[in-house]
Amino acid sequence: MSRTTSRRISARPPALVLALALVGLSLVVLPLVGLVTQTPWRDLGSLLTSPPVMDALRLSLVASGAAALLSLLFGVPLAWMLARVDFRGKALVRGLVILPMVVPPVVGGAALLFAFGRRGIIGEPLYDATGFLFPFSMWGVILATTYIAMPFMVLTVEGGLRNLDQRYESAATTLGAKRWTVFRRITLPLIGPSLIAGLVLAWARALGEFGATITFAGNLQGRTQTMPLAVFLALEQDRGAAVAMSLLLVVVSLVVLVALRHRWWPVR
Amino acid sequence: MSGRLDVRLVVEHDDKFRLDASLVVEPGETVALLGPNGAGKSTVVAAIAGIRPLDGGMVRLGERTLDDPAHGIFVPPEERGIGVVFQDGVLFPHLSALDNVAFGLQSSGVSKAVARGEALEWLNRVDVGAIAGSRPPELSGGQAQRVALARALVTEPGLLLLDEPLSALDAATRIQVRRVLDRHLQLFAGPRLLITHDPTEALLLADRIVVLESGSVVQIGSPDEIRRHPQTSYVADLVGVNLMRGTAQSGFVDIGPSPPIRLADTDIAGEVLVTIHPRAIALYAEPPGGSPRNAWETTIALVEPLGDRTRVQLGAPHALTVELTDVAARELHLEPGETIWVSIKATEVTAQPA
Repeated sequence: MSRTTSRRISARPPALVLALALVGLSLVVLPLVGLVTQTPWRDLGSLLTSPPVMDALRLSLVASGAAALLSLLFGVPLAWMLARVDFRGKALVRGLVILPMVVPPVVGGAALLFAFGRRGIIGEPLYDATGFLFPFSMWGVILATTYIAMPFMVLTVEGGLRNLDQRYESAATTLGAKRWTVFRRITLPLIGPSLIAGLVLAWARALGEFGATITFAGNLQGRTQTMPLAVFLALEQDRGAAVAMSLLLVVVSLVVLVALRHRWWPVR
Repeated sequence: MSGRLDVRLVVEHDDKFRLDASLVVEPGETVALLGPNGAGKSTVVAAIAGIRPLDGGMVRLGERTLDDPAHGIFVPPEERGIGVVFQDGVLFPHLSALDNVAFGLQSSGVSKAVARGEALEWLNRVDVGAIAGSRPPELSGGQAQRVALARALVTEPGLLLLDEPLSALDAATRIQVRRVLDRHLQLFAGPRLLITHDPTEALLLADRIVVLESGSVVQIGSPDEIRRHPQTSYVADLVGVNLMRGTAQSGFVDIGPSPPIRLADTDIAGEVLVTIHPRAIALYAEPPGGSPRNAWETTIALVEPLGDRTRVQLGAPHALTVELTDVAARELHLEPGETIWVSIKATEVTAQPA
């Protein structure tokens, strides 16, 4: 369908549309320009290899990767339930699942504390029984980022499932395939593009997570200080390092966008 | 192992539509369920395959009861052993033709290597072994339907269910795949149920036709019976056409010992199916004149009133069915045994490759 766009006639925009579009574009581009012009290029190597930055980068990659995979593990079944099973209160469940996208992350982080914190409804018995504590640990970072990122996975995959022609699954069933076989060998491969899109969106959101993480897990270098937290801290103490880390995050995001652009939105 | 299919399907759709249809298909027999869009054909497929549970009635295949809500019996689709050929194939787009066919065997626990071997055998049997490695998007409509047929038959089902297998194909491919089906349906010894809205498909492929209208069966019979003696005006419109096989050459079709029939299309040659609509045939008391047309003298075999029109069966040389308005029929004083002149314009005769 999108192939036909190559035959589209290029339109001449009205002056007002063009002007507003340029303002919109500059809103996106100017911060990038600011970032690039402020970058201390000569010290870039040493700034990015300093221990706090390396720690933050490692933690960010591990936590965002884990959050994306956990979103896949739990988000796909959730999406399947929402797309395929009729149950009472489905609208409510969908609303609850999407809520972390809308709620301010700081509020999400606070809510996580009340559930999984030292005094939380799960956190307290868990701590009493095992001595394990989510806050101030990498597990807390992963929990907070998964909480924020999973809705992106659920929404994307649910859309993919709804667009999937269910006759493929019916056909597999008439061939004698059990439900799990149908899910594994037909459904999952056919929604592959949605899974990848969901992974990318969840991962990108997890990489940029700030509010819920700092509220729930704290800001300890080497343990819970992810790149965004490190950037925020460095803005006060070492502008050069903040700019360098920001540039690194932008580059990582761009690489992912470019690498996967064909997968989840039409080009041109 | 194969037994007859015996069903009474009762399915309710939010008060608007009710399907209540009974039919029987014997092993080795092809029955066409013929009906227009909205008659309930897809519901029949879903109910027999087990994708849509029945609200009443039962589905029996051989000795097994597959669905019987009154007795709390419901066998899920994956345990029914029903091979389905879906409209436009519904081949799994991410698997090769070979793996599409092997899928059913693998699902029942056969190892990948063995399943692939058997799948290849079936692809060869329907003459598409050469494209075993291709993915469905690379296949032509005709190839895809052959793969779909092989996929449905490889698991040795107790019933072959063909759901509009030709309707997604273009006209030329449809004729080609219809021939393939005609030939390969014999590969399957169990009952065969063909769901279609296309009268030609039903007339050519089926041993018996069941006509479905608004959720009910309105007529059951052999293709000839249905064609010659449609019992409602709806069935008459749907299948009541004159259909003959012959050999076409330079604007004429040779049909057995009878006089050849003139065609408007002078290019078509070889084996053809000739269709003439009953309302396109004119009857005259005297020999007609005028433009080049088919005309001959014949006898009236039968006169049947049918609602606001009259159907007339003619005798030799061509046993044609003619439909007239009541007014025209009265003016001609039609009586069985009387002689009368037939006239058909060449442009009213359609011929397509058989």
